[in-house]
Amino acid sequence: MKTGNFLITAFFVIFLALSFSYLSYVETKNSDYSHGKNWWSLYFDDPKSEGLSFYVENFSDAEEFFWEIKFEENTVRKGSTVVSRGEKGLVPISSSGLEGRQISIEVSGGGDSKKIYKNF
Amino acid sequence: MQNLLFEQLSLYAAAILVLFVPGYFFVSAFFPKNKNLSGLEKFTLSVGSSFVLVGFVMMALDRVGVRIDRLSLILSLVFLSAAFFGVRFLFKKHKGVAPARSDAFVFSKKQLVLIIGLLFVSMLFKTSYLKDNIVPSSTDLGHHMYWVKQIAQTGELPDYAKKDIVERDGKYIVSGPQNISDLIIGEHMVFAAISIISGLGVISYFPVLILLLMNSVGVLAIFILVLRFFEDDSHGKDIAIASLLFIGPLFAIAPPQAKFVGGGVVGNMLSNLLIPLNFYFYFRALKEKSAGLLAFGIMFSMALFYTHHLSALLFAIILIFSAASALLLHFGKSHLILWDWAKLVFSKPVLIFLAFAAFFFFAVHTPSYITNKAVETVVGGPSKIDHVGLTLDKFISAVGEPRFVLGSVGFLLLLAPFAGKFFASISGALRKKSFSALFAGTGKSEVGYQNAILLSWTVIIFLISLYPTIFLLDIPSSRVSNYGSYPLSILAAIALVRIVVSLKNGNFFTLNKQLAAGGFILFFSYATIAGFRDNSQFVTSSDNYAKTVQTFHASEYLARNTAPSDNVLSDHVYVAADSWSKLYFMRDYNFPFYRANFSRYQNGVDKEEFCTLNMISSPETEGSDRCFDELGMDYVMVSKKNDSSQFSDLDDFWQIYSNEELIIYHKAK
Repeated sequence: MKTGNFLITAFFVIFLALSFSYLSYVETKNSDYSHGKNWWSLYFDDPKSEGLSFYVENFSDAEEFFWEIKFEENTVRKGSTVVSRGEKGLVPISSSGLEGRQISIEVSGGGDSKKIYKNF
Repeated sequence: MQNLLFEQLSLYAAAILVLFVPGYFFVSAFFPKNKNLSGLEKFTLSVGSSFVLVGFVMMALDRVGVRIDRLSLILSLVFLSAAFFGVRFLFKKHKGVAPARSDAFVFSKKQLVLIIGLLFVSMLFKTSYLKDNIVPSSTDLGHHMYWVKQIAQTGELPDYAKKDIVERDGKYIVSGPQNISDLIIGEHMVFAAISIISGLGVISYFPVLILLLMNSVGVLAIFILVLRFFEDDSHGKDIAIASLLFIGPLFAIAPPQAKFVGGGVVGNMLSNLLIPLNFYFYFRALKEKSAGLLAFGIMFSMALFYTHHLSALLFAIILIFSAASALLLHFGKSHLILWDWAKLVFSKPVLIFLAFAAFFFFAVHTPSYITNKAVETVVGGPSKIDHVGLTLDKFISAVGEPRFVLGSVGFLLLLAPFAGKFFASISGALRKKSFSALFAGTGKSEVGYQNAILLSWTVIIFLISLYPTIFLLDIPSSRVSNYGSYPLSILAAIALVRIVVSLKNGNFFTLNKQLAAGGFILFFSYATIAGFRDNSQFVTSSDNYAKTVQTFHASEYLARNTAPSDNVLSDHVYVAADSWSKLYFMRDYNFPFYRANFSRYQNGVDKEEFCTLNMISSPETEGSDRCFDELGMDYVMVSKKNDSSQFSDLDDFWQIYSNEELIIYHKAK
């Protein structure tokens, strides 16, 4: 006698599998740092030492980032670096001759700017 | 894309091996083919039994000192399944007396379309809600996944303990590991098994998908439970289908459904599968006077006690009251019922399983809440403001207004046969025949175990939600109220079906038939609209994942750049998905330390130290300076928008990391 139990179970498993597949796809896309996102981060290569080299890690449409090193609010060095989406770029900075109270690094790109600093 | 496909196949293979295969062979071994178990029951029980068995296997492996890894897990599960396959042949040779298959599980084409349609719409709503919550971010799930990752990394079951900030001899220190009372091993083992076998990391979609699976099978468990409850009722299938409506599409998102899945309320989710299956076995055991089924019930109760102590406690109270209600409802023959129960309890299968359970409890694994004496923390009366009981309004809101209204009608209809004669005698104005038919359905209904269970289930959840002091309990009232959605869904379904049947038969009091039908359609529309409105409250199109990934990025940076001796402070108030940060460090359950919600510092119970609050809220003060120094706090991760200003003028804080959402400071020594 046909009870319909197999049909219910089969459809239940199919619905679950479809839901799983869709949600996995959405999660993989949304949790990707870069996919469909527009942000970037700025950080020191070595957070504890007095080293000033820094990274720009880019997950935005911007490609060129302009940086300035400020010594007590005065710009002492500046430059630019190109970092493609999904990449990170190291900007090596020698700290010699930069002894002062606050050394800050300001980076701008894609209409946004960010700052990191160390106080000595 | 290829990677995703491979991940998917790994996940499906692992989920089938962990959550279907052992249970399937177990159920096949103990239920003779096509005798007393429908296909739908076999599927549902296979998943439930697998959950139970995998837990037992992992605890046993841990006890005998075998590392829990892919090989040991696969071999044990395959061996166990093969053993049950062998038992199946043994049982085939010694055919026992098995009741004939119930017609309750034979569906017409229309019923099939309706059931499959309800399952489809439920899944559609849940998926639609979860697409915005599938990136791991919920606080509870983050906490649980820490332990899952620890099992996967160490190959051992964890001791639930965490370090904390305490004041000793006038100095702040980080304590040694302190026991955690509210975590239980059953909440983590299945996730760990799937992670280990599939190779999938826990910071991914898989934990939410497994919760969705357990939640969906839990809905099927309610369906088979109701079919069994009302298998002697000619409208039993209609009641079961209507239950699917109330627990499915109408409230697919509201807690404890998709909202709890996305929120990672693991213990509740797993218990919402185990509780119906517990009732399923106890009900069938008592009704069919089967000691074997009672042994299965005890096995599922044991699993519940290893999975979620709040659910287990509530279940135990409900079970005791169900038994008392059954005796009360059959007052005249209660001694006979007690004798039947005694014969079941002192039967061979039950005694053998109880011996196994005792051995397992004492010699293999004792739940942490017993060893920690954590039971004391949930008894003695409310200690927190959210434990003192809900108002009726809040309870109604928690279970859904239409479900409460119709459920109340269903409750009265179940009570009615008990008090039917009394009501009938005082309601001379009503036609006695139609009144009885309305209450008793088709006339075959009697006050049975299903009524005792449903009435007790509802009353106990209602009372503990509103008046926890009656039971001297100290548990979150709103969390308890969510347990009311299942019995009230069943009661609402009973009311709906009984009213429709009465309307159809024209025996709805003395009302004009058209008027009654119109009234019913109006009420049904209200229930549907209110149900969907309830769902819509929780649907928020969210781009939180954009914030979440930035927390993950900052956490990765800190994990990469800190030494084991460094201390880190984070913030639960404004940092998205902060509870997941600890999975990047895996140094302690409480690492990074975090500023908790402000209310937790004010209620005088949750937080005894204020360092975590002050170090972020007012880092410039002397008190905070003392906290930083004495605790050796090296890094602080805070919201850029809300908490960066108080650090910007402080010379001893270096701003070392910045993204759109977060800033990390280093406290220079």
